[in-house]
Amino acid sequence: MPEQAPSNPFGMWSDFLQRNIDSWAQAASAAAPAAAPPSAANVFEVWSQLFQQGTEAWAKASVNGAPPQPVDVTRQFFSIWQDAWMKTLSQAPSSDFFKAGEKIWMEQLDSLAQTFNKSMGSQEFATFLAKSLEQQLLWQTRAAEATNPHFDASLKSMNLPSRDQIDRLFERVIGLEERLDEIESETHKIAKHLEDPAPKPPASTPRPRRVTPLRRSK
Amino acid sequence: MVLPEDQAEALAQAVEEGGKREAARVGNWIEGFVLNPVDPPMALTPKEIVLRRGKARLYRYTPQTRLLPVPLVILPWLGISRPTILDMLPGNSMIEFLVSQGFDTYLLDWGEMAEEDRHLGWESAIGKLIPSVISRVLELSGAEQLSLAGLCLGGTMAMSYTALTQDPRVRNLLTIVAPVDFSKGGLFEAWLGQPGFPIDLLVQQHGGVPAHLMGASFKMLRPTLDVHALSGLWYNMDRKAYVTTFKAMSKWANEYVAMPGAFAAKLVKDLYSTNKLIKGEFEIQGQLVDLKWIRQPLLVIAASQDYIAPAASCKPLMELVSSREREYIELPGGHISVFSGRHAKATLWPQLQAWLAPRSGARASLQALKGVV
Repeated sequence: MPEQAPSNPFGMWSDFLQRNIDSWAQAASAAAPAAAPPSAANVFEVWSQLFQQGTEAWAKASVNGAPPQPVDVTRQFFSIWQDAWMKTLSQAPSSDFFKAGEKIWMEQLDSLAQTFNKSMGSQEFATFLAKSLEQQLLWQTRAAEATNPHFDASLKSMNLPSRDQIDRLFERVIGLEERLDEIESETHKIAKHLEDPAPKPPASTPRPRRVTPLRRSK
Repeated sequence: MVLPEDQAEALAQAVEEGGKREAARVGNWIEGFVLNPVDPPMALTPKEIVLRRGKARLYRYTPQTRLLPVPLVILPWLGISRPTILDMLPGNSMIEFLVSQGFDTYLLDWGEMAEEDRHLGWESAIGKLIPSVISRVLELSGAEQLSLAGLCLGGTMAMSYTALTQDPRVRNLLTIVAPVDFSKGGLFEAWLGQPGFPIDLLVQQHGGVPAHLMGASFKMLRPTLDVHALSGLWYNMDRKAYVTTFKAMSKWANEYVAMPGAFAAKLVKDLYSTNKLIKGEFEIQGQLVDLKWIRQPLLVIAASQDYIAPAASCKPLMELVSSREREYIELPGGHISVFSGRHAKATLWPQLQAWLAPRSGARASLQALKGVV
């Protein structure tokens, strides 16, 4: 009788993880004591696949039905995670016990980042992001349109400037600063010119080419 | 958990060593975060303001040694974050290194952008500010030419300026993690290149890309970054110097700066969305930017693990310019770690010095370099 595939997306994920743990355990028991333990590169591959499968499972869940209960999922996830670590570290070389753990963890983070990158680089995600931002901005605009007149009226009644007025004032101050800077710069140039009326041309300026009429060969 | 008996001794040793590391970690944590919770001050290399334009400030770093004849102007990104990372901590600062090597170094700090700067765009940056900066630097240094080094979008601005104006005062051009082919811009290209990205609405509502949204987008670009950084801290906390660097880096990495509306709109529409720069269709002040007019010696630096400006988006500049001398260096590291931090100290900085010093009038730069590495 064929094995029934788990319908729960987390079940798919945990099933995949369990299969990996079992295969590792088998590999470790078959190996001689002096044989190299599972390398960090293998761990990376395993977790990379795991996260990809997990992401796909969650994506399917979001389309096909309600996702599982968050508390149950979290509990199951940590239980399996803990189990995986116990088995992994027990097979790592004990003299490198802590360093192996560090390496595995950092590579898992990289793996997770790559999985996120794959998901977030998709056209669907980009469209979703643009739409979400647009909705948020439209909501902000509407909220501002609805509330700003009241705020402005309140501020006016207290003889205080509105935000728009302060922004405009800032813009004018910046414009004035720029003009002052330009005037200062020009004044400086004039003063320098008066001190040294005929400065040498910069060496880098290309000399004008001498135009000579073409000689026709006879 | 059952452990093989022959590994028990090694495990005991590992636990003992681990215990020592734990003790060092706890000690450094108490010292670095409990007893001295204040973040270390950054940007301490002595400098003075030599030009002000609106919120922008041009700094000149106080020379410490005999100066090379050609000054160096560093043009960082506009908005996003502060350029203080270029002068992070004493002993761990790119600017401090350059100054110590005799470069007459200038840095343009664009300032803290806000809603009132919504009109600041590529036109005013390239058409007004950069020429003013170049004039001021040449005036102060007494030199006739300078080197222009642009980082990230500052590099994109530097190459656009050089191509557009063909300014003979620019002797050398350096671009560091500066994108030119925005179709290879990674996740930002996927998100901002969307035809439906509401940049106009964003500019209308906030006057640009506000700092909080800038922060959120960079966090989203690498959701594991904070966990990664904290894990790195935990694993390296037994080294005291790491804690200081972490605190400085963490402070800088969480201080985002808004991007002005006009600049952001053009970046999204003309670069990320339609990739006009590489096609020769990027227009500034009514003129097309054609990168083939760049004839200066060119150094292009990219980082192999850069997910903000991937190496593939930086390298194509090499094929677009007319420079006879051009060099491409791809270094390991990310967008920031390629030029800041202890790895950069051993990789980028010496290479930068080796390339730039002979082109800045140095005679025996390679001999001097031996004392650096």
